[in-house]
Amino acid sequence: MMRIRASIATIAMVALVAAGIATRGAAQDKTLTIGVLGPLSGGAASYGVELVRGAEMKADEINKAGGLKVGNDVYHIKLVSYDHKALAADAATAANKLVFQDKVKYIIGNAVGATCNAVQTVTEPEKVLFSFVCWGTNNLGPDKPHSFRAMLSQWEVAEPFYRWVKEKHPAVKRVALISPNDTSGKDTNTAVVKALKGLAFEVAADEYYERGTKDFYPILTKMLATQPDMLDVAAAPAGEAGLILKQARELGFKGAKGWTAGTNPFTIIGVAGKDAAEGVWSPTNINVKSDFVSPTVRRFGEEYEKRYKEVPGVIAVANYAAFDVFTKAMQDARSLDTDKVLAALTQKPFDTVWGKLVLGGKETYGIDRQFLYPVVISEIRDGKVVDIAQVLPAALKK
Amino acid sequence: MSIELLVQALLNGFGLAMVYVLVALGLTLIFSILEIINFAHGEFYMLGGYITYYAYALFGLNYFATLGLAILTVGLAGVAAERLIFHHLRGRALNAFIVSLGLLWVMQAGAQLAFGVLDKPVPSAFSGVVRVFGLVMSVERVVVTLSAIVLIAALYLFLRWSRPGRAMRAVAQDPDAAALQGVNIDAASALGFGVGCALAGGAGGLLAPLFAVSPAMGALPVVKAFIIIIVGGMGSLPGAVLGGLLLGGVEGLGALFMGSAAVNILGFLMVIVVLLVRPRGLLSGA
Amino acid sequence: MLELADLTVHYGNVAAVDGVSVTVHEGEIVAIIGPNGAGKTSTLRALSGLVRPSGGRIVFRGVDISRWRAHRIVTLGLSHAPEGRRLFPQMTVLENLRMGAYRRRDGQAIERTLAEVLERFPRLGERRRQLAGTLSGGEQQMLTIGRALMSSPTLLVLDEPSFGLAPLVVREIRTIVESINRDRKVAVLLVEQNARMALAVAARAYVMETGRIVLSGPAAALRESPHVKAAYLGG
Ligand SMILES: Nc1ncnc2c1ncn2[C@@H]1O[C@H](COP(=O)(O)OP(=O)(O)OP(=O)(O)O)[C@@H](O)[C@H]1O
Ligand SMILES: [Mg+2]
Repeated sequence: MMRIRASIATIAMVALVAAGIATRGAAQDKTLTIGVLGPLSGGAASYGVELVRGAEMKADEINKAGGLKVGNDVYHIKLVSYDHKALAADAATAANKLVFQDKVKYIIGNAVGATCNAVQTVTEPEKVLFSFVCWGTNNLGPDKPHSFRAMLSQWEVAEPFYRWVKEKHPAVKRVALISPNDTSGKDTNTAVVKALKGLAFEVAADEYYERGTKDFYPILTKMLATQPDMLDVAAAPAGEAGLILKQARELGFKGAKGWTAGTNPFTIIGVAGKDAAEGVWSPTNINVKSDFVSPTVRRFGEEYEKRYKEVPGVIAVANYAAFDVFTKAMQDARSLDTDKVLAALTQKPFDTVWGKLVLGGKETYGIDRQFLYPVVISEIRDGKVVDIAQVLPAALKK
Repeated sequence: MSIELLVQALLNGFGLAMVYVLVALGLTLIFSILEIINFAHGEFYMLGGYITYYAYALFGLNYFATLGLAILTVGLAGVAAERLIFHHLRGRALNAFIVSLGLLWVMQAGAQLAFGVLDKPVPSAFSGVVRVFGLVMSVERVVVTLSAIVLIAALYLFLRWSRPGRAMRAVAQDPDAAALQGVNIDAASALGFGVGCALAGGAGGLLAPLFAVSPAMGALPVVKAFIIIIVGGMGSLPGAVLGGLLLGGVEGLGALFMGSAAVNILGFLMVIVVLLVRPRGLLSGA
Repeated sequence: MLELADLTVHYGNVAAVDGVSVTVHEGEIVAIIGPNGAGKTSTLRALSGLVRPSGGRIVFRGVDISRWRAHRIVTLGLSHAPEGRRLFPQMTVLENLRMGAYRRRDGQAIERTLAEVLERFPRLGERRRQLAGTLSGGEQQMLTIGRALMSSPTLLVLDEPSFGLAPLVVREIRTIVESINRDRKVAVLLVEQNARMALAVAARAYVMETGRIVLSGPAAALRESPHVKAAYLGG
């Protein structure tokens, strides 16, 4: 028995060491270490994986081109990523490790509501610049000047999305919403309900489920009894959103389908099946293969697919863009000092894979730390993601 | 609220309960024979899910053949786990408990390395829905439930009438006495662990097309299985079925009246009530 | 047919059986008597393979079984009705009996043995569908002996069959043991605290105290031994 236990321990050690070596890579004379956090395992793993991949793509691009030139120095970019399993406690631990052990000044990438608040308890006092794709109004604010959201949230997206629905699909009057029962889910539903009421839709159902739920028959039975014209799987992650749509179809739902906070419509097709995913509109996503994107984005998409054998979702693109914005700001500031970089960030628009990007959001959050860029609305047609419209968040119109 | 809606809610709850009963029966079988609470049980369920993904979704094997393959392979994995690990910990419940937690970790981490962390969808084997009196259930769920019932019945017959089945029951009731009648305890334990895991593997295979597979997929069914066992009574097959139906019914109705976020609490409330009223479960016994 | 030579059994560092030698011949009834904790049960558990002896030899029908595991020893024809009955409480009387024949494959012969056993214990026949856990103490003891007979043994090992039973039932058990020995030529190794009963049925006997055999000989002679009289037969 001792021998068996020893060998299991050995395998585990070897695996951990190998993983450590793999993410490290060769060092140059000057190194800029950037942290990435995210759920890399568990139900929300797809978020974390896309965050890391988006970061890797940009970091490798910079390193291959000879490094990041900031003032007179050239930096090799090194990524350190930790898995927090979507748990706040683990996220705080990981943030502590990044800031105090790895001495990181930039954490670019994190996902899932409550983990962002946990990370901020470490980053804000240490003036570490922290960019994330978590949802929730409380992640941005004047008391958190070092925090950024690198992706549009429902607060920017719900209104233009449902305005489009109202214009193009006037038959939709009653909308039923479902989100995970946590801060990001609650926040999403709140934002969507606000948009719906403002646009004179009826809210047929406003429901929450526990993350990790697989069987949605019970909750769907209740929701569908309210006879909605449209089902919005609002903040559900791809896997769960796919299950909801599949089971709703089985229970006889035939109405319109939306995914206000949707991330990667490609994954939903796999889980829900072609038929159940047919017709899903999602406004936050980006389709790297569509007509609305620039050649740079298309190149990014091809490169990504070659490397990871998957089509990048919005989170990968968002973190790729966030890396772009932050490294550009470092160059503008000619320094790695976070105060100077912060100043450079808020000064002017950036040209990114999204198109023109500015930091805004003061009306909603009281501080301009929200990345704003054009929204593409896509629809799943015959198992493919087709972009059908582009709308601008209200603040970007100005 | 219409009667139809109520019945549909109950039906929803019962719909998958039998699959969780399978998981519970595996756990309780292993506990009865080896006195081990196998915390890695959900990982054997996960293994069944991945076998289904590879054999059925990728390789295109027939659905029922895949189910058989999942049951057999996971069963053999269970036998291997017993022979290589748990056999050496017999009579040391605490060690076995800790090692099973370790096994859970190793198997999950191994699955992440081997299969990746992302959910892998498994296409439905059956399409269409059954509609009776305004009640709806997908054909897929009907097939899954029927398959689970067949497996439960097969387990019952196996334990009741087959020679190895009798041997396992004897070991569960008195290992020394069983040995004196000529039962090879080592073989019966390995087989018991294997059959227990095979049930979990079968459940994983059955639910894979409904829920997609992922390395962490084992957590949920094991929680349900524990509730079912505690409510129904450790070591009781009819108890597990009863526990499954109760849990399903409570969850189905709970979702309707209280919202699905509250449903998880209902399962635990049921456990507390049963523990207070009948600490050994509703139908405890062999 | 059975020979224990210099047998020792240890639990940790403590010797429960300390150099015991016992012989049983074909068709013979042999008793081991002794006080609580003498090591009688430990001797029997070593004999049937439930504990591994720490020293000495056990030879049964010419085979050294000292290192054999319990489930193989039954197949040689040694059947052990353990202390405390040890029935399968959640099985019926009939299922318990059939478990006794677990190692046998000859279906018809098993049915014949079953019929014999039920004839010998009519009470068990009446209660064949009842769960063993719900039987009375006497019935349970009969079932334990009946189960042990189901393997069709040549040596029957009984550990305190009279324990906790009323005098009338003890007499019944005694008659049964004698008749089994007479009708089927089954040798019996009987462990008892009830020395009076044991010395009445056995041809030879051993007296065991604190892990050792302190006296042995024909039962009739032991009945007259002052030590046995004083310690076991109440003066
Ligand atoms: N599993 C065990 N572990 C440790 N010690 C044991 C074990 N079984 C028995 N013993 C000890 O070994 C000694 C002999 O016990 P054993 O049961 O063989 O005696 P016995 O003669 O059958 O007594 P009784 O007449 O009370 O049944 C006792 O001191 C007992 O406490
Ligand atoms: Mg004893």
